[in-house]
Order: sequence, then C-alpha cells, then structure tokens
Amino acid sequence: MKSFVSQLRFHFLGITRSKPLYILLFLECFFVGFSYIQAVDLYREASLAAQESPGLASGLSPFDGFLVPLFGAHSVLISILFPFLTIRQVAVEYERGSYKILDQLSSRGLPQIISGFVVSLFAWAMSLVPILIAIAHWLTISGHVSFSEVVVLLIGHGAFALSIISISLLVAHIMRQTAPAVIIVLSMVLGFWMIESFAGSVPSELGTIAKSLSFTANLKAFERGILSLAHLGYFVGLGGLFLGLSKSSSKVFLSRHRMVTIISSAVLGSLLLSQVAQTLPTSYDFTENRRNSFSPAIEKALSQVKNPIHLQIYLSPDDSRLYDFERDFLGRLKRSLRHLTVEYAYTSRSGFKSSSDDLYGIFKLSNSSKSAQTRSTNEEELLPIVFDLIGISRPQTEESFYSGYPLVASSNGLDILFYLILPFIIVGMYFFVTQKRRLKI
Amino acid sequence: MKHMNNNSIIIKNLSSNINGCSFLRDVSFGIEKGEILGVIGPNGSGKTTLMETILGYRPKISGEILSSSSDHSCEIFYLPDGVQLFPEHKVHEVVSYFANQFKTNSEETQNFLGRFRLESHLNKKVSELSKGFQKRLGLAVAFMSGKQILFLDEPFDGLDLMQTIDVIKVMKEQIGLHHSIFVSIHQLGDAEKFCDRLLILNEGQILGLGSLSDLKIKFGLHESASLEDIFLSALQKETI
Repeated sequence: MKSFVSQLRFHFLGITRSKPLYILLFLECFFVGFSYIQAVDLYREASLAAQESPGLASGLSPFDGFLVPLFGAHSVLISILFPFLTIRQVAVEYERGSYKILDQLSSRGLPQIISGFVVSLFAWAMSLVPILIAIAHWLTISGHVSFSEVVVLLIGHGAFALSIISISLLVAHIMRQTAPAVIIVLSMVLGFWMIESFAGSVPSELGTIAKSLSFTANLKAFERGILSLAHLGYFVGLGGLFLGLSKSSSKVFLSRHRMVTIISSAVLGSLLLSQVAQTLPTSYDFTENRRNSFSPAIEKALSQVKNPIHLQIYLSPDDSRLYDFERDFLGRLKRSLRHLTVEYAYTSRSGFKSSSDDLYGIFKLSNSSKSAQTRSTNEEELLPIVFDLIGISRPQTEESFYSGYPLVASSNGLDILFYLILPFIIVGMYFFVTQKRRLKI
Repeated sequence: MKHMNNNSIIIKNLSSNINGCSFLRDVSFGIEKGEILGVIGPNGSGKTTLMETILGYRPKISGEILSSSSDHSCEIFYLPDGVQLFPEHKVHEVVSYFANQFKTNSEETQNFLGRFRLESHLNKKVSELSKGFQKRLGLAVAFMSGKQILFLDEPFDGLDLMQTIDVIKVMKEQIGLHHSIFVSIHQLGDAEKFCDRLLILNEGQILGLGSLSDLKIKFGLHESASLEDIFLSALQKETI
C-alpha cells in the first residue's frame, strides 16, 4: 500500500507539472466560456419572449438551456485533447527507457496502471473547474439549477472520461510511442462520431450495434437527463476491460502474438459488453420536468403489462418525424413497457420505397390478440391506442407541474472572466507549480 | 543450491532469437558473489541482449538460468543504457520515490546520495543535471534497490575521466561482499581497471571468459598485453 501511495504521489507530481494539462485547462476556459456566454444570451432572449407569452415559460429549462451546452463543450475537448495527456504519461516512459526500471518495482503492473488512471481522473476533475465557475455564476444571477440534473451529467461525463482514459492507457501500452497512440485514439473518437451519425440514419441491426459501441452515442442518454444502467454499465465495463488489458500489455516484452490477442480481446470484449449492457433495463429520469417519463400513474400502469407488444415503424431513417418520435414517445414507452420490440420497416435510404407507399408514416402496434395503427407522433393520440391495445383504461393524469425557469440576465463581464481572468490564473498556476523552490530538509 | 557454489547466478546454454534472427548462441557463464564481471564486445555483439534475455525482457529459445531463488529476476536490478529517469521531476522526488519503492531507509538513502555526490543537486530537475550526474543518479538508484546482483549497461558512457575514476571508486566501495555486478563496458581501459573478470562476446557467442591474466594465457599473449590486445586477438582468432 505504501508503495502504491508513493507511486500515486509521484504520478500526481508529474501530471500537475505537465504542460498538456495546463493547455487543456487554458483552452477549456475559451470553449466553456463561449458556450456559457451564448447560453446566457439565448436564455435571456427566450425568457423575454416568455414574458410576452407565459405559455412559453414551461419550455425554459436550465438543463437544456445551459447545463448540456456547457458539458457538451467540455466533452469535445475531453475527446480530442485528453488522450494526449493520458497517453503521454505512459508512452513517454517507453520512449525514455524508464519502463524497464518501473517494471522492477514492487508497484509494477496493475498498481502503476491504476495510479496513472487515478491521476488522469484527477486531471479530468480539474478540467471541470470552468464548468463549476459557470454554474456558480448562474446561481449568483438568480438562475435555477437542479442538483439531480447536474449529478446525472457529472456521472455521464465522468463515465465517458473513464472510457477515454482507459482506452488511451491501453493504446499507449500497446503502441509505446506518443504519436501513433494519439493518432489511433483520435481516429477512434472521430469514428465514434461517424458511427453515431451513420447509425442515426440507418436504424438497422448493424446500425444499432455500431451505435451501442460509440462512446458519444452512449453519452447522449445522460445528456437527456437519464441515468441508464445500460450506458453506465457499458462505460464502467469498458474501463475495467481496458485497464485489465493495459496490465497484460505493460510487460517489457510484448510479443506480436500477445499484442494480437490483446487487441482482439479489446474489440470482442467491447462488442460483448455493449450487448450485455443493453440487457440492463433499469434507468432513472433525473430531469426536474420528467421529460423522459410518462406521468407516474401511466408509468405504473404500463409497467404492469406482461404481454409482449410489437411496434412497427414505417418511416425512412432521415425523416425528422422518426427522430422526434424516438426521442419523445418511444423513449418514454421503452422505459415503461418491459416487453416492447421495435421493428423498422425501412432500414436504409436505398430501402425507402416511395412516399406514395400506403404504409409510409404509419406506426403499427400489435400484441398476440390485437393490432392498431396511427400516423400521429403525438403522445395524447398515441397513449389511448396503447391502452386500448393492452385492454386497460388509461389512468387519470395530473396537470404538468413544471412551470419553467425564465431568467433575463446579462452576459456582460463574462467574456473578461472566461477569456482573460481564468486563462491568466491558469498560466499563473503553471508557473507557480513549475517554479524553482528551495528544498526544506 | 549445491550447484551454485560461489555463484550468484549461473547461465547455462542460453540462446535467443528475435524474428528468426539468432542473437545469442549457447551462452554459459556464472557471476560469482562479490565480483564485477564485465562484458565487452563490438557494437551489436549482444551485450544488451544478453542482459535483457536473462531478465526475461527478450525471449529465450533455450537455456537455463539458475539462482538461489526461484525467480532470478527478483534478485537483479537492471540499469539500462541511455535511460532518462523522469526528467521533469526533481532529484529529491526521484530519490524519495525509489526509496519508498525499495523500502530503503533514510540513512541508507543519504549514504548513497553522499557517495554519488548528489546531495547538492537534490533541488534540481533531473533534466537540469549533466549527463554524468544523471548517470550517478541511476547508479544511486541501482544501489538503493538492495538487490544482490546489479546489471549495469554502459554505466560509464558519457562520463569524463575524473567522473569515471570517482564513480569506479564509489562502486568498488559499495560492492563489498553483498553485491555482484554484471556490467557492459565499451571503454576497454575502464573495464581493465574496474572488472574482476571479463567476458568477451561477439555475434552472440562467448569468445573468452576469465580474469585478465586468464585471458592473456588463453589467447597466448605476453604478460604486458593490455585488454585491447586481448580483445583484438579474440576477434581476429574468430575471424580466422
């Protein structure tokens, strides 16, 4: 334990003096600052409109209004710049030859890998500081922040960072050089973005598998305010898998056979994890306005349905109605109905028959005894069909309690804070921690 | 254990190849307790490969490595050639890190720092040390490891004459009867002064092994012959 603590302390000293960390923090001020200033301005404009028409106020949620954009700007930087920071820690030891000495220490293997992982998580936590400053500012201008919404975003982005860190560590141990390792991890990140858009336009088996593998696609659930065990389990499982494989690849001599085995295990393990994680049905809606859930009475009624229900969707993948339907009604229905299967009739753009197809635009619901269909994507029209199909009466629902949080605030002075003061503090911190100081013996 | 006699480690018929290319061929020797065994040979002769194969850092295709413990690598500390020890850390941080890892007490640590004249450099970054002092730091770490056998790959490379003399003196004092050193050296003059026995290696094969006088007899050289004469004679004989 003592040797692990000393290892951790040593890694910690290394990362707090590493230029990439301060460059990341420096850039973060601009990214997060820009995102926050834009959010405050847009929120003000929407709030002014809500003063004219009070009905619009219920749509003003700080979650979408500024929290998700803030974390979104942060995750772009984490995806692109964080691999440099994590990979450098490891690859540089291979490049300098010191890994042969590290391999002879009592903390070799997993303790050294866990220590590198922990300090990378610490660096990620440091990168949250500009976000926390933005949230603190939002509160000081009388903005509302829901604790549970911040928590779900922190969990989601933390799990995302965990995966980025662990895959960076694995690739660094396999490649043993900074440049190729960074190229591979960045290609993967770009690949995830491509997979996400590809999978979004092709709701096929392949598309679904590809989407389930993508880090960014898995992060989306948290950005909708859902704490899903499937997505969290995938991220945590991947973290464990990649850290375990990092240990196997950290041997001084890595044969080609071993390297191929490790890479194959990483690919197959990720595929397996993504599929196993999807069997975890539990998810929690952390949003204050419960946008991802039906009313509690409806949820309770639907959760008691035991017979399987099949839904066929006759919409082309690039139809915006499909996106709205999946995000709103289908998302809620999937969270409430345990035995729901969904079938997409049009699996690709080339498979799109034609707009004159009689079935186009239809949502067809069926169970073992009945079927019903509609062209509507509206929840108020869809729910009665569902209840009619399952043969129970729709429970009475209470009125929506969410009145929204309009905020007319100015972004004046925020540019000085995020573009001048915070970057200046970060540069100052770098010089402070790297300055020469007298050693007290 | 009986077969170990006075040896810290015995290597028997060690052969290795990398990607089908033979690097070591049937290498056998022992390192005696308390001795300094130097390995000399031209570039690419297999000196580093020999050390790293013994440690398991490179694959062996055959051979046996015997030591007093079941895992011989636990008894060895290997200081590779050209290693940069954490250049962005300060010397005292590196020393304290290794002292914690090797469970070296502070008295011993201070002793090694003093002997390798590192005390006045503790507050410097490793990258700010001269090459000679970076070598000294590596050697101090090697002795701090407390391992019985030290494998040192080119420890005098880059040191000036005064530094080499100084470091040799310190290392000779440190060895006592508790350490054995297996060292690869390019500078034959230093090897002659520093090593108790020498192993001449060329193309992965041992051309000669023994003390300076043993080697002179083996290669039929006059008593006044230097290690350089022995080395050249060994290589010429092999070429013939």
